[in-house]
Amino acid sequence: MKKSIIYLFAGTLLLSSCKDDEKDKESCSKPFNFSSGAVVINEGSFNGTGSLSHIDLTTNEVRNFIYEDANCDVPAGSVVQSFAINGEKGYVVANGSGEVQVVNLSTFKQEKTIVLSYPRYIAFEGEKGFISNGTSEGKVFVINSSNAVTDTIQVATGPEGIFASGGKILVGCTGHWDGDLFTTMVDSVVAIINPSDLSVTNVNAWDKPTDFVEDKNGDVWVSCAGNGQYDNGADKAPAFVKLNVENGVAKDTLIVGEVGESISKITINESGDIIYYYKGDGVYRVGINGDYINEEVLIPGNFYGVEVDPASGNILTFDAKGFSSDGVVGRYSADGDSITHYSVGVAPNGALIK
Amino acid sequence: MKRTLLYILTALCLLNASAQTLDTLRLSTIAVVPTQFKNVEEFGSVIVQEPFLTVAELLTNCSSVQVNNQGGKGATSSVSIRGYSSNKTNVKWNGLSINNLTLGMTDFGGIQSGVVDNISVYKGNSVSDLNDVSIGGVIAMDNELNWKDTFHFQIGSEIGSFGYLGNQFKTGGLIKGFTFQVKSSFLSAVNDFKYKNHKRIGTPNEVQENAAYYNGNLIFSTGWRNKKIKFENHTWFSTKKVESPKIFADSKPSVAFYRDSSIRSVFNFYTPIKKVRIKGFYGINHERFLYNDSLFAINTFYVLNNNHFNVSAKHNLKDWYFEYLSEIQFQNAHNNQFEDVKRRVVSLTKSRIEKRLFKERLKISGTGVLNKIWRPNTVFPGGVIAYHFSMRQFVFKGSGGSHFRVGNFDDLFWPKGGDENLKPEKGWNIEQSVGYSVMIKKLEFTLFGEVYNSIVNDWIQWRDAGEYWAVENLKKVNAQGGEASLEVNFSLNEVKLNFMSHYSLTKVTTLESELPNDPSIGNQLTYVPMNKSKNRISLVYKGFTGNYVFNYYSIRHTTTDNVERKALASYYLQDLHLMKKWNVKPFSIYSKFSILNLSNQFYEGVSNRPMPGRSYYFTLLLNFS
Repeated sequence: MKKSIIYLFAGTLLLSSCKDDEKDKESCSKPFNFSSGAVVINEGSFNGTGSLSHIDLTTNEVRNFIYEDANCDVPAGSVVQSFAINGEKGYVVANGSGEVQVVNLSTFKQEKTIVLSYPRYIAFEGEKGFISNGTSEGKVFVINSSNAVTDTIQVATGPEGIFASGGKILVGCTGHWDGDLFTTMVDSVVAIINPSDLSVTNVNAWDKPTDFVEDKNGDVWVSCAGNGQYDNGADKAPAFVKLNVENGVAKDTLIVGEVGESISKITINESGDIIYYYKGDGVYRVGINGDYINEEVLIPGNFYGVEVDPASGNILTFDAKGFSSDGVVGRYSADGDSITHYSVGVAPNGALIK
Repeated sequence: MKRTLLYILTALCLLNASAQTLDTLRLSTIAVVPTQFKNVEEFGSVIVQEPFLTVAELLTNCSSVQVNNQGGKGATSSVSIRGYSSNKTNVKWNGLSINNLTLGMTDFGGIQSGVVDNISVYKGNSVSDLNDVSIGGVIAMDNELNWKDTFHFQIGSEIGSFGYLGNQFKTGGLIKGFTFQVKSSFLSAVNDFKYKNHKRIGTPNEVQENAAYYNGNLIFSTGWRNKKIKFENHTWFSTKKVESPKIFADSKPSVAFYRDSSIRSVFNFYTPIKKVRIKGFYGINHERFLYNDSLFAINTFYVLNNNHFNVSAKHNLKDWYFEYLSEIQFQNAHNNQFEDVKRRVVSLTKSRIEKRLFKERLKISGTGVLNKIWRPNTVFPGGVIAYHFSMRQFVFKGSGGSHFRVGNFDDLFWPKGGDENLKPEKGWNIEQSVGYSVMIKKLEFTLFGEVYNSIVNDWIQWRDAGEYWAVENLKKVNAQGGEASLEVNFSLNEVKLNFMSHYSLTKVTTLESELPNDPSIGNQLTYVPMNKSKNRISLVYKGFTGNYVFNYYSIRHTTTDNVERKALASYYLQDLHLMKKWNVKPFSIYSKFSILNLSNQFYEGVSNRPMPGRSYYFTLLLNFS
């Protein structure tokens, strides 16, 4: 009898302590419901942690630290590289931590952590998610609807940008760092993954294929950084490669700079006919038929990302401001006229706009 | 842990019972050298009793020094003086510059204080007292030859929490004008401490992994003298391996580590020519460094050499004192990130004149310097005026002058973004201090106050230049602040009481910047606490000494725009030490038991790096003389 009373007492204590823990979590959490606007990805400072900000593109209100607020001040990780959504879930990819945090979009509370070594970007096709893991091993991880890793796909080294188009998944393989030679062994492969059987078809694009957009004709444009400062060879200018995903053919190559320059992230307008990209001196644009190809810089500045708000057609620029203080998101008309600026977290590199 | 404590207490009691002579420990205070133009803090007496402390741990006692630790024993620790970044603190070992040529700074994490006999901290431009025009200050580490004892040795060990073990051995002697000293020290630590990870969901308890540290040192010192000449040599072999643990936000243990080994040797030659004292000096610093992170295929290595020559002359003529120095350093670096071996030549010419007045109560010094650098080709003239005035219990000191720093090898020679024509940082500083000592009955009070103001133009900084990162002269930075301290000593029969309290205010801000809308303007420099307070109370009774230490650090910003939410929280640390010394002639035995971070305070030395909680250490030293 005495033992039963002790067990009962201990059980009650445990239950009450669990309840207290839940209460604590509730009281410290400030949920955030992401229904519209831009979620800005802030990589964070060196040795620090990244964050997410939200911009209401209608009212121009900014709310910083939305992930930390919803999760009792726990950050999403170090070097938050990207953010993607699939249904009711959000995926915060932190490559420094080697994690993907899965959140509920109605609260932004963390629900699951996917641990990898160096996750970079994530894309979805059907029931599956595909995460590029940017190491020299050249792996893309496949997750199911429960966000469990189910498969690993071998691609070329340094998988970076990942994109869903025409029922396929495209992965830009940029190469890998050779620590002994102290140089990047540049790759130029775009891996096209068939989600149903996970087979891979490689297409040779241009040096360091990095990011993707799909134009109004269904062609995919790949931004290729070219050979840069620490790359083996270092003699190729940046370029766009136009791909036909269905038959895996590179249809065209458009060089957009000089040797020594590079491009990385790109975006396309709502009508799918003008691509925006940036170089060291600012944002440029190029039409899918070659318009504006030799135009001067559209928005001067030193940027770390560019996006287009599909609702307004406005261009959003991301200024990392030296990577050690709050960054600035600039809002411009499609012609490059300044509209307003927003102060966000440290080192913003882009946004997901809904 | 209880059992360990019991063993320690039993050992202490046994030692006490066997002691023939009871000896009272001297309070190991930081000495402020009175005769210099700078207020120099010296740690010689602390090192005698606590040779196992790393230099970084030792310097935390200095209120104007900020030590930013990245983890447990031996982890990388950078040191900044008066709020200026660590590459503006020059480090000298027996006069030899040992700052890392590629980074410009010195990692004090793994250097045991016992490898030297004295450490002195000079704040600001120190050219009146030393041969250095540093911006932040100078940390001088010196080995001293013993010209009196015939033979002595010391052997000791220290054990502590988280797999820590230290061993030291020292011996020396004097035979017919020839003196020698050999020192060896070995430290290792697993650093497998537990911590609560507040930057992961559920704040899990984690154990630090891949954080082990090993350091070994061997130092030979020899000297010979007769009536006319004196010759000295100090040679230091050092090696260490430091594993880099994961940060709070990482999901997996790190596999990164670095190895650092060095051979340093200095030769000094002294001789008088008529009434002029001449000193010749040659030193070499040879360093090899390797950083490896197999996860990201990073493998960086470099080999650095610094050949350092100087000749100086000193002469007294009644109340006048003259000093002349000519110095040249030949530096080279072979770095796998550079295209070839990079070389640089740096020289300093210094002339100083000093006048002593009013029975030496007032000393006025004027120093002129000429810095010449051959790559980048720069000439920088400068000077300092200083005074020292003592009146009854008061001592006043002040100085004003220029300071100077040339960029490090990474700044100058990084393949893209480095700039061989980068301008040196230059500027000026002024400082004024007052010290006061008084005895009221059995209470001895010592008060000290100092204020300073300094400007650095052409501040060197790396910035995102679009396609790559590039170094530029970007800012004008101002450091201003003050220090105040109070020390009280009380003696009554067998009881001795000592209380010390230091406070420092450090404000370092950007005044002007080439960067458009630079957010650092008007804001505090990152990782510099504006307020610090260091306090200690010591009690000596019947041969035992007890120390209680309480240090406070205000918040430190990690972003240049001082976003509060990204700042590291303020914290305080408490330590407790119990010491005892027995003299059993010709031996003496010293023992110490310490509890560090008594209240198990959570804090971050550097953002995202876990620090150990409460830890225990026991030291035993045996001396024969």
